[in-house]
Amino acid sequence: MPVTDTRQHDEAPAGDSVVLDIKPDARERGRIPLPENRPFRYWADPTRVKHIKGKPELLPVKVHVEPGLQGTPSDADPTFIDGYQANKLGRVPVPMDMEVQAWGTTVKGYVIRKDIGRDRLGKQLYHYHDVWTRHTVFGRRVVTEFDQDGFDDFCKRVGKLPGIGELHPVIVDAERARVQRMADEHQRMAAQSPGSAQVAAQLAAQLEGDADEAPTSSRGRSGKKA
Amino acid sequence: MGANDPIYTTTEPGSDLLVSAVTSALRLSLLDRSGGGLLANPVVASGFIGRDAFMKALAAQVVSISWGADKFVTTAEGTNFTIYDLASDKSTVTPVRKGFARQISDMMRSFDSMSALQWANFVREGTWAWQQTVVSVMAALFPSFSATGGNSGGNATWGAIVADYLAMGQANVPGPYVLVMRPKDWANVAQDAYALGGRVAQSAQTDQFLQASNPGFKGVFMGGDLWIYTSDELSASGGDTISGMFGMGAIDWTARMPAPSPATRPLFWSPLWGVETDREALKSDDVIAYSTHLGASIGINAAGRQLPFVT
Repeated sequence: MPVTDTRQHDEAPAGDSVVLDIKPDARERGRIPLPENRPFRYWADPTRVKHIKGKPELLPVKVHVEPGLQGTPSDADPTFIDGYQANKLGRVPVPMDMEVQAWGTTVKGYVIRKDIGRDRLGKQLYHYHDVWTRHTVFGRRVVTEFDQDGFDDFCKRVGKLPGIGELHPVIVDAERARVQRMADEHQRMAAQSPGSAQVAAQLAAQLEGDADEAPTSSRGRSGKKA
Repeated sequence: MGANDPIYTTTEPGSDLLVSAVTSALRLSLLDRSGGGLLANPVVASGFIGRDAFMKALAAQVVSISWGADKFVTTAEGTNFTIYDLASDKSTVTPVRKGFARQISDMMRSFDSMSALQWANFVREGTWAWQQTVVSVMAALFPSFSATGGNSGGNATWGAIVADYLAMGQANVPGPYVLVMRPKDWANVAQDAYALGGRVAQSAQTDQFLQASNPGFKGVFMGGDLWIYTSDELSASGGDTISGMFGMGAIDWTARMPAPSPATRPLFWSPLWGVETDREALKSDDVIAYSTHLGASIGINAAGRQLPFVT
């Protein structure tokens, strides 16, 4: 079931438990309309950088452990894909039990496993997502929210993990230049398209300090502003 | 989606079909079934490791050799030329078994007056499902591209796409390239084009954005060097959805099926996937099983880029 829309959410959640009760009767219409997927972990890539309020931070990337992917065998042994990420790409794994901020609370671990029902033969089905993503089911629709502030804080914490050194200035400058070029390009089109001016301002604001003062993207934010 | 029920007269869709039979009204629901278009692209097809090349081992290794990486170097008379290593890299593709099944009762089939559940429909579904599965597996590789472009936290724009297209060329990746993005990202780019009046100086290709927004092939841009597709199969990462732009050699993949065994009752059988039935006589049910053996890996990592755009 695809993500339908996002909306802003300003309140902390009631709790951090999102594992739902399993319906004992397979005929009962209790399956959550989310797709079955595989577990994942975040990886810190020293070349994947994003400016958050003008400050360069690592932007961790989520990699699922999917059998058939990058040599992963049927038993989903993560050794192969982990080896590719670490040895070939020079990425550093982000510990799955790391303490993070999500929806205004501190939680341990960033992977949530949601029970989405069983199949006819009783096989349990799961949907895995990160703690900053919150799904709310309304009938047969799923509304998805994302805690951008919590994820930005996670990016900062990842940068301080052991084994992750300082960001290389060449990498930071290259990313800055790339974003600035995109901002300039959109600004050039602004005369014909006012929308391009907004995009240019949003891109430039990433590099220049408080992004809250610039036109925001469609991503929802949670909690209070710093 | 409801519980995973077999197709009986008392469960959906069987119960609904029986009512619909009075009006004979039937149609397909809204889903992304566009994967076949992407798989037919020559860039994607070039990464396929066929059965003949992949016969004797559980994993196929594809080797990339850096012929032409070194240049002639000045060397004084009487001095040996330098002997350089011939650099190479390799990727390993390991197929795994994938599939799913449906179950249908004799009772339901006997009341199927609209032929909604005829065997040909199951075969057609197997084709769609296999294509979408391959696209999904490839899309799951996009976060493993080292090069990152796009606009994390922001909407997709034509400017971002062109910037990444040019970056691919700078990385010595020969065209054409394939870009796979979400329908929503495509819609954002198309809205740019509408706002720009459908035409931008020096970029008449934005006219082509004013097309239907249904999933699938969107068109060929940049003078035939960039093929754009949309798909719902992309994966998310940190509030972004990861699109991918790649050229030949970026993704190696394989799919295979053996010849059916004497006990197999195939509805459809190909070297890539199969659809077969099995009878559960005690229940008067038939099980239709879809199966394949599928694997994909990053080949030349520098031949692809991940493009995160806000989900």
